[in-house]
Amino acid sequence: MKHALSLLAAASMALAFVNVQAANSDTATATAVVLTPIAIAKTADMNFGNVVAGNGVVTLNTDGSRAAGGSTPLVVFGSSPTAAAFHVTGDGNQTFAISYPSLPTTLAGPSSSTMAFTICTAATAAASCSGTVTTGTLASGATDIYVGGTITVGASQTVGTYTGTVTVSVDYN
Amino acid sequence: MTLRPGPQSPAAGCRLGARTAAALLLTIAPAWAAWAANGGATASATVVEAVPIGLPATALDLYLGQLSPAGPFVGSVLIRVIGGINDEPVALQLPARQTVPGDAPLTLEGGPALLGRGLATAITAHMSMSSSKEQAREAQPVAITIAFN
Repeated sequence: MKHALSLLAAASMALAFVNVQAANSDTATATAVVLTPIAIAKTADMNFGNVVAGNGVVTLNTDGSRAAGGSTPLVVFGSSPTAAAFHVTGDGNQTFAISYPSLPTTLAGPSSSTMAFTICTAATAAASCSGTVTTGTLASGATDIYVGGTITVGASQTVGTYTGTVTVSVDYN
Repeated sequence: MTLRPGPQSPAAGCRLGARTAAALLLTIAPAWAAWAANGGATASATVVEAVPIGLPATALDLYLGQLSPAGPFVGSVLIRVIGGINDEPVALQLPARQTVPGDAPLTLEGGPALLGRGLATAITAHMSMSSSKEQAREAQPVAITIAFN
């Protein structure tokens, strides 16, 4: 029995020694890149200008030009039509995601009247309105997003001003 | 006695590095997400009231007012606003394209005009037509929209 205990003690010491000898260390590099926070600022609101009631769709292109389909004539006096514009700033030439977390489907007018509303966006202002951009690239830390849209004007559309708010969100990829 | 494996090998060290990096990413990610920025813009449109007009412009009027012997013909048509104006300024919208009998395209030129105030205000619309004189003789109303500005 005594011999067995001695053997066990010796074995334990040997294992402990091996364990101490096996202790090791290594290093890992932790890297973090600090970017300039991305920011977006509105530089222009969207204004379809004046329209006369009628069955038709008015398109506001991303360069601010307008076109009408159907029987809705456009009236070009008064407030000049403009596309909305946002200025995005951030770090270098980073890419970023664009989302639209709050988009109204209608513009609200007087006496609870509404008109259908959609948007189109582009990285470059153009005489067109189609789809929305979901990614962007900063050029030397800045770029722009242009927002146009369409409204559907009814034949008996209530006279007055219709408004809504378009929210654009940007985030680094 | 329990023997616990420690960071005893380069592989274990790599696991530690990966864990450290993951922890850092977990720390950084919320801050990254917080970098998302929002911007809002107002969208607006104004529906204006249309105003009836009295004498509609016709292709014949255009023909009578033509300034050149050959097309495109350019002329002026006097339009009289018969009501609904009062003291409100109104805007005139010229249709982009009209077709007279014979499928002759009629194009209106010149920008819209802001009417003066008061009833029965007379305005002039300038038009051109790339059709023949014969076609122009056929009187065809030209739709012109006038609306409060």
